[in-house]
Amino acid sequence: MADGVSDEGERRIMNNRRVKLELVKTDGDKANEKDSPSNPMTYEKPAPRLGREAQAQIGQQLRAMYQTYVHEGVPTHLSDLVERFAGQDREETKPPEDRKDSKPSE
Amino acid sequence: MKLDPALRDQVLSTVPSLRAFAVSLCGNIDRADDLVQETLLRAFTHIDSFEPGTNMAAWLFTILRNLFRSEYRKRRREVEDADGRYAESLKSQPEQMGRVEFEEFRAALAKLPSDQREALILVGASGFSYEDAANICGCAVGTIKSRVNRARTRLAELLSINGADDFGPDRATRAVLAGGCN
Repeated sequence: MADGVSDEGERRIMNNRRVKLELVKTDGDKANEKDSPSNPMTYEKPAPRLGREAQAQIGQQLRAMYQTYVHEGVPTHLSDLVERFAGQDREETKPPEDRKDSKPSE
Repeated sequence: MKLDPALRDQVLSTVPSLRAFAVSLCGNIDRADDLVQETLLRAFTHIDSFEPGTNMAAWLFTILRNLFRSEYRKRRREVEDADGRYAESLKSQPEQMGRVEFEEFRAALAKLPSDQREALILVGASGFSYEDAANICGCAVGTIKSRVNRARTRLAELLSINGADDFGPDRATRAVLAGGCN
């Protein structure tokens, strides 16, 4: 019981603190909040929970889109980039010291 | 610079998904390829900071996500203005969905705030756990869950997915099935 009272008291203190913090906010802070890309949805009312089937449908479409991109393959210049850094485009038997002149060129 | 062959294989196997993440985020194939290239260059430059045995995919996704966010801040409007004809540039048909459905979904995804979009893609498509996604985005697990939930709800609104009637075969297939029963 005593804990409950102290919790209640603490909550009241926290609420007061929050009010004070609100008052301290400057116009500059408010402008920054507006500019934040995450802001518009962060402060809207909680989203209603979607049904399982709606979630499943969205999940299926999202994965289908993503897999379409995955299966597009990787452009040669990107796989070449990895290979270049791996040193696989040079003779593999040579130790790295012998390949000082093979610095990747942009 | 020499990359350990095991690390090279991990990087190579991650690139297709990394690129899919980039395309999903920015909606523009050329910018996505630039992002992946920049990510790989950063990764190679800082490969010493990667701890072997930890999640290479999560590490690369984190780099790409941070690069995208810094670019997004610079070119916010351009990202939002992504055109709606990506399907035309695809080499093959979209998988398990028609081109119209593909474009509708892509356009709806582009309308989400970027923090919700990235959370939804990481968890719903890239296959990361909520914990990994939280690490990649630098936020709490609860925040990721909330963003994913909001993203799904918003997508359902944008795509007019309201209830059980919208599930199962698409409209055209349902029409054919209905015709077959008569």
